[in-house]
Amino acid sequence: MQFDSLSDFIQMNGHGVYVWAVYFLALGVLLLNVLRPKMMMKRFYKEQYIAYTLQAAVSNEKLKDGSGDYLK
Amino acid sequence: MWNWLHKLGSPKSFFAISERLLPWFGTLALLFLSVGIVWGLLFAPPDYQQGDTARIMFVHVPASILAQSSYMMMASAGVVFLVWRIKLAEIALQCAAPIGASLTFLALVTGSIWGKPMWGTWWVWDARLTSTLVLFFLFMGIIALRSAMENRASAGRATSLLAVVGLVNLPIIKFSVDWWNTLHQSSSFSLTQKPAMPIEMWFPLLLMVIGFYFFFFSVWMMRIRTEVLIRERRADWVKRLVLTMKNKRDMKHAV
Repeated sequence: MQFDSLSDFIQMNGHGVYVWAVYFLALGVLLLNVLRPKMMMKRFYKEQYIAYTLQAAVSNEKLKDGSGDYLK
Repeated sequence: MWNWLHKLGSPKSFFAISERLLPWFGTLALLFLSVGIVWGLLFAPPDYQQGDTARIMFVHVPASILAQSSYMMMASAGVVFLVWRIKLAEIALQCAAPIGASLTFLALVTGSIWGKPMWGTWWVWDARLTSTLVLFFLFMGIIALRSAMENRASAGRATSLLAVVGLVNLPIIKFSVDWWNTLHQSSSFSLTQKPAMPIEMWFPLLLMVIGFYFFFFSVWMMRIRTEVLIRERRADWVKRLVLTMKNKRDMKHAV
């Protein structure tokens, strides 16, 4: 271990601001890279389920009386 | 081998194979990055000239390496698309661009933060810094070009071409520190030559570089998987998958 105390570790001999800024920024960039595709995937499943249900409803309507075409 | 590659090129097989690979890549990324960060911050010795600011290196160097590597991989996907017209290669190219842009941004900003205490300035128009800024603009250019074009086929060709042409910038970045007299120090991290830094610094740096590679592949796969689903949404297998996921969500809510 290179540091004697927690405050030493945080201050990094006066360079703490620079070092910690870099590490927090990196954490932010990496997290965004993970969360963005996760969110996109989640949204796809939700929206696509609605789209399929709508499509199924449309084709059911069409079978009955040929209406529902306007929904397409 | 060719058979296997051909199989991987189909979006459906890619989705299945990546589903098995992703947890491994994610776990390895997390493992390498956490060990590397703790080691770099707490146990690596301070530099004899730069003191504790040298700890910035454990983020800055891997981010810079990956910024260039991700461009290389993106451009390779562009070549594959231009030559063999493989759809998945075009998806891979589109998905690599935002990740590459974010890593280049990280490399630039961390370098700038490191530059302030060491060089006394946030930015200089030095060859290494300027060529890395050009790399960032190349990534942004590809994102912009893709979103500006409605037609998917011509957008694929245009972005692939731009990615391949931009390859010219990579050797410029790499050799900028040797060709020009720059403020940026020359490379001190290498796998093949004797490291120019103490082994106690070199080893955690190696862990971070490996961790960043696993991280890149994980998030790249995640993005490609989503894009594959969006483009194949009319296929039966995607339909079945969406319905299974819906059932799973309902089950979770019911418990």
